[in-house]
Amino acid sequence: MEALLSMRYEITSVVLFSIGFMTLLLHPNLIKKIIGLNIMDTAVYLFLAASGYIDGGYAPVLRPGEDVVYINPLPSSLVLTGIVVSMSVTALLLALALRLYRKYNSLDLDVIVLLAKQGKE
Amino acid sequence: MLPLVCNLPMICLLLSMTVGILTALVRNGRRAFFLTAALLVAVTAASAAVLVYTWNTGESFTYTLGLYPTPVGIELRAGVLEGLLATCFPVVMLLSILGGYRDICQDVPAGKQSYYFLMLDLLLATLLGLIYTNDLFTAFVFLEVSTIAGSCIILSRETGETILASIRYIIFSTLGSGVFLLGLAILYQCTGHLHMDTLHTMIQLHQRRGEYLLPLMMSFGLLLAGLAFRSALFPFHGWLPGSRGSSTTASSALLSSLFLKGFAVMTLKVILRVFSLESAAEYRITDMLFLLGLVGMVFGSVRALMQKDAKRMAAYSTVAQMGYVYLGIGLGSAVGIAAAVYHILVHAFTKAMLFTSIGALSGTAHHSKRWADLRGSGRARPLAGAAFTLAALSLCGVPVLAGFGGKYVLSAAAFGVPGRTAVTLAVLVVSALLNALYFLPAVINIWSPSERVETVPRDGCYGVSALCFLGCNLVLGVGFVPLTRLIETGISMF
Repeated sequence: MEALLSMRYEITSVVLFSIGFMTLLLHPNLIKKIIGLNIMDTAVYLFLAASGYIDGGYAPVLRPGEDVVYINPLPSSLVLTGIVVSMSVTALLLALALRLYRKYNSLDLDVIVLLAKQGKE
Repeated sequence: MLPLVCNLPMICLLLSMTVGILTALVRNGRRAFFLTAALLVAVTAASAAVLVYTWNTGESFTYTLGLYPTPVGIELRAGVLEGLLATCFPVVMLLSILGGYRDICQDVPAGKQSYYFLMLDLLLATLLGLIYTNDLFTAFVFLEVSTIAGSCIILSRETGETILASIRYIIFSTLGSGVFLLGLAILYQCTGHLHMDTLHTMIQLHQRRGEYLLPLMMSFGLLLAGLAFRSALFPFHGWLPGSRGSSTTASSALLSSLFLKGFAVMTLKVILRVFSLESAAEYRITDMLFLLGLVGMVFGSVRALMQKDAKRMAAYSTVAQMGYVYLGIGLGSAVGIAAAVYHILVHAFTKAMLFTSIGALSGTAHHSKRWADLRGSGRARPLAGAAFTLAALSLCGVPVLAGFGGKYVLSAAAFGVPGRTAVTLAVLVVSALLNALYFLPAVINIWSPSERVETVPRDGCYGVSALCFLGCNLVLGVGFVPLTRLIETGISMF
């Protein structure tokens, strides 16, 4: 129990990652796929951020004359970069989903693939 | 004070990004094309200088960004292998856009052509980044940039089919990058570093002490799985054929011949520079890659046999060719890896030649890529027909052409690995036969007489590109001994 509690961030992030991964891979609805992608990314960011977190640590801003424990700033900066990246991918995917919806009036990928095979636009 | 040549990798990277922004500002497609071409020539020349410099000094060099020391700062690293790849990739890219220029003008709407070239410049930047980077997080960022550039390049012709292909591509590649990032996070937790050299030392230390063995193995597997997603290794190839089939000629050529290769190079770096060949063998990773490579070689060829569309056939042939590359890595010896790198070059030049010639041939048949419509197209465009024939023969492994060099080097490497020689040779023969089975009917088809073929105006751009491709093919087919020595030197610098 103690071990489970101390690894709560990791366990949560693995559960979230699996949920996101499966949604992205298996769900036919495009918007839900995009949501799944975001859940998956968030899970990894939680995992990364947790790895740099020190209980009771402060934000890594150096103030002269103070001697306090800071959290590791590197994972946080990696997460920031990752957030920017996943935001731009999400924006691109949403734009594409919008185009597909205008062409086929559906967001269900199965339906769209069927329509595209028949050559309807 | 660093000599100027040590700054060149960074200059190339910055140049391709800034020129990318400039091409987007130029509203004229033709000017954007010239800008991109000039950029590619400049990058080729600079990378050649890096290659010559590292060959002469006999050691690699690192470039530290902002002069922060290594564990904290970001580094670029260049050796003979990096120089060679960075010289060859822009050449393939230049020849592909030259060969597909007429199709770009037709397929991409006039107002958007400059954006298309912007994406090509970004693609070049990501390739250079993946080749030169010396730290895993930078690699991840370039992985994601390549997702965006790649999806826009697929989207060059806006039809329902390409949007779908593009979405499928983004989904697959974000899955890949997500898995890669997870592996990276685990590795960071075990070692506290992301810089490749430091990681290597830390991992060696952990392995000697017997610590963190399971997490290290998991992160190794996850990193490679992420990269396998991106480089369309056999079970992860689902996104590839659709995205090649429907986009413009230059896009399909670039995506097949270069795009996947950046990730294959990254795979090599993860195996050699972050972990080591010994730990890859210990974790059974080389066995896995070997097996997937074998299956991919046969599966890709069998699927290619069933296609009625020229581009889809070439795309499945790419799956098979990526199998060759991973087979080479899976041999688990330095010679095998050199063979894999050689095959990366062979396939880059040959497949780009094949795709551009298919594009040129389909110009005689209202841009249809179905074999039935392409009948007799070789007679209307003899040069394109000849280029297609030679590229096909090269992929079948006819001597003097590049494909023969690739297969020769790979089988020579297989002799060095006792347990795998027979299997490798057998599958190489089967794969070559399958290649012949689907390429020869195609070649006969395009030279058969047919009445419906239209005559097309001469295309000087394509002519130049086809001849250059042919020249490179011959060089790779004849000069494999010195070239593999060059590659082996490069790998020993890793």
